[in-house]
Amino acid sequence: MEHTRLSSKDLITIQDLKEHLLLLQKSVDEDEGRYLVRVLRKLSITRRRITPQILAKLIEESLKEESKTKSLLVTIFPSTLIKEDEKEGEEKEMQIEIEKEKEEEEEEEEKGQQQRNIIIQAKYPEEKAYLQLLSLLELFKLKDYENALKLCEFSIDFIEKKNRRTLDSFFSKVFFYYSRINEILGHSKLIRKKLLSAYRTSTLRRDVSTQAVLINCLLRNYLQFNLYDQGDKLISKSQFPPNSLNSQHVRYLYYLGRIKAIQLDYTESFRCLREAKRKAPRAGARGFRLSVNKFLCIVQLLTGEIPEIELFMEKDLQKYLQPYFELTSAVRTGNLGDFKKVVLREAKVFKADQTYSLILRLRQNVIKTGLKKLNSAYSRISFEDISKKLQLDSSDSVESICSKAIFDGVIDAIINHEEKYIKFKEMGDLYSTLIPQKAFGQRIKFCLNIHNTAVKNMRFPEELLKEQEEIDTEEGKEQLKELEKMSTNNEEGKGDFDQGEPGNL
Amino acid sequence: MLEEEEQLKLTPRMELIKYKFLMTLDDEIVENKKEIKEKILKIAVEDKMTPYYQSVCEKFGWEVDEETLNTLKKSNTEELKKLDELIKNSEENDGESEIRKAYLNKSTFYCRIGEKEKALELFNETFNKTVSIGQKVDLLMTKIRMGFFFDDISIVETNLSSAKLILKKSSDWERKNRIKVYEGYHCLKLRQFKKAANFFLDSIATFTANELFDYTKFVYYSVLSSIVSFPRTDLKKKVIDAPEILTAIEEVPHLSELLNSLYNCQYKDFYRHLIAIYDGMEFDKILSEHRLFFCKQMRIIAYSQFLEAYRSVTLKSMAETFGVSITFLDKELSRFISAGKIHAKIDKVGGVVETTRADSRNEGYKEIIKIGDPMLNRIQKLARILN
Repeated sequence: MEHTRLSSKDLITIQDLKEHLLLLQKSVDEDEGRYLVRVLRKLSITRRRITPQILAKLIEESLKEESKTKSLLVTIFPSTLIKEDEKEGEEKEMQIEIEKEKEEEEEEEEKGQQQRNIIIQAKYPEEKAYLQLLSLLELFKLKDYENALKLCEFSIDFIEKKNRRTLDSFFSKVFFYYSRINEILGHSKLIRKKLLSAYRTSTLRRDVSTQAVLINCLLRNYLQFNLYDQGDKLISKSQFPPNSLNSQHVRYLYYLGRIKAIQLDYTESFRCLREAKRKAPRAGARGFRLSVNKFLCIVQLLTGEIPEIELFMEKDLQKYLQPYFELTSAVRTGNLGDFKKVVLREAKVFKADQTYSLILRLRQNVIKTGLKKLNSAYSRISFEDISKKLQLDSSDSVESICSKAIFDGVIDAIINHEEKYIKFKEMGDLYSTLIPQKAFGQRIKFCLNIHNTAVKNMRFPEELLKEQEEIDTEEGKEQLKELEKMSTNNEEGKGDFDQGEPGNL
Repeated sequence: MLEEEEQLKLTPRMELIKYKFLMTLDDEIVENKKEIKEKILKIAVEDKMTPYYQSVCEKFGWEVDEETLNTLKKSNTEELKKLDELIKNSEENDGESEIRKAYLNKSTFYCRIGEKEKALELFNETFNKTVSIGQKVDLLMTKIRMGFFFDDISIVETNLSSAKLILKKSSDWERKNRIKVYEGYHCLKLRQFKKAANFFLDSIATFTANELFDYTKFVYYSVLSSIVSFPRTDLKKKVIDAPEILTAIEEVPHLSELLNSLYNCQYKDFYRHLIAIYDGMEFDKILSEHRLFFCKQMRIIAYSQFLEAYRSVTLKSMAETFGVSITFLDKELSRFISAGKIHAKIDKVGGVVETTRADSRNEGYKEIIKIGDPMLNRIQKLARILN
């Protein structure tokens, strides 16, 4: 890490971080979780602005000398990172400030903040945990995994001992990075025990966010080593907390979908993956969306349906989905020859995506899809014609394939053995069955659920009124500004998907 | 002024689009490539099109004749000098309209030689100096033609929308109809046959856009785009019986036969003429990309029209009516039926095709599910802030 001077932008960031610490203190003092949530929501933006120098200064100024946190963090981010001619630096920065004031009027607000110069000492473990987390993120960004691991372990011990519910969100994030760093370093096997015991502890303490993160870390761990049975056991024995963050819920659905697919439960897998895709962010999280789309494509093919072309047409993913698109075309036309060619050609890509084993199961599906197409076009067709159309070798095996397909429910038909043809049943009137009712009922239920959740999440405006009275005090003014910022910028914090592009709501 | 308008209309040279496209086709299909090459070179030299000459030689791998290139470059620089002088003079001495005219001359020059960027820039400047709506629209139309010439869809689209905006407030019907023809041509390129047909047939009575293509070609495009998108009644009223179309339709081989054989349900003839038209479409730049689609659509229309009369019909008699073999017909029908384009079912054992009438209630239900689900996805996204 280089030794550089702090720019005025950095100083602003430091002030912002100190404000965050203030908010954390306030959160604990007033027992209001909102401020903590607010600070964590901004995490994705904050982490991009911090540099080792900022952290060094912050650690120096905000932590007490005796705290263990400080002693560890100071070894990683020593204050020597900041150049010693600080006095000179400050004067120069004052000059730059004055110039900026003349040039850009936006900076005025920030300048006002800067001159305030908050002095704060971290007194609660929440603040220390926050600083630990920021340092961890910075180390992760710099790919300094050794130090990051040390910090992780320290942080986990620190937070676990305190056993405070307000530290839950920090705990979950630290665990996430712990698991990830070990995965990068290749030590995944060793931490399984620790994750499991931590999961038990968090369930006992009703620590919702940590539970969710740990289940996901464990599932990821198992999937990495193809331990699908163990993953399944974990799912059946545990209950994923329903009130967890959306981002964790999405991950859980993704892992669930993958496990179900391996276990031949394609409909369930498809449902999970589709929900995961719906709840994932539209822009950003590209790797995740890409992987979900790939599995969605394969699982949908395995259920016998053809994925819509829109699945492959998302602009930023189109290039990578090209092999899957070709695979789908081969399956769609029921063309066995094409299918074999594509699989052979793109075997490497499929193996890297971990979809190869699922794709090998598709051969049956090519035949099934061919049969389905015949189903829609023909009312009666002889076995000989079927074998010609599907490029199957003998017309004897056709009969057995058809009977298996009917048994699996792929097609609705009757085999006429003596005259060697198959008769497809009429599709008939959907409206005379209960299917529309069920489908509509499902959708109506979904809409009503959202409506109820929205109603539950409304807040009374009286809080705004209360703060109107306090507007004379400076603090009150600040609070009002914060609230305004919150209501206009509530797109910025979307849990912990890494790329902080605001979504198009 | 009128002369100026006519001058403007002549740039860029639209025949070059056709020749350039023909050169890109296979050697077996286009026999007289040598003649076409000579024609291109002749026009390039005549109009002193230096950048175009260079680009076209590069594209087709022709040898650049240094001497011709130098003469072209020299004449270009000379003309440019003269034009710049003219601009300077008019800016110092003359009034608004003279300045505009000088700029217009320079932009026409760039357009003529095929220098895209500079031409567009100068046209924009001239546009700012132009006052009358008609002249403004003329400039925009020249830019649209440049878009067609250089295959740049964005230029076409932006200028089309600005031209339409300007023309909204004016009552210049001639230009409005001309813009319709441009729009129709653009829609053809994007395979929007129905829109294109509407535009063409609207402006057929007063066709003045001769700079794009001549009247025969216009009738060719109109008929082809309408035959694939209009239902029978409209087709009869607007195309088959339209006097303007009847005058020129005979000049395109097979076109009127195609139209009439479809309307009169003479399917054997229809197929023959369809094949001929399909072959002809290969030589047209805009339509060649869409000829497979066009052919497919025509077949679907023909089969559906035939099957509308029957509850069930033997494959044999259907094949005979269309003049094709049963295997071919079976392949076609199964392909279209499973794609959902024809409402029927084949009974291969009995050799019969049975038609099924579409049930609007079921169709409606399927539509709701299909369209409603993405909307629910979007609501789900909104619900994410609630967490």
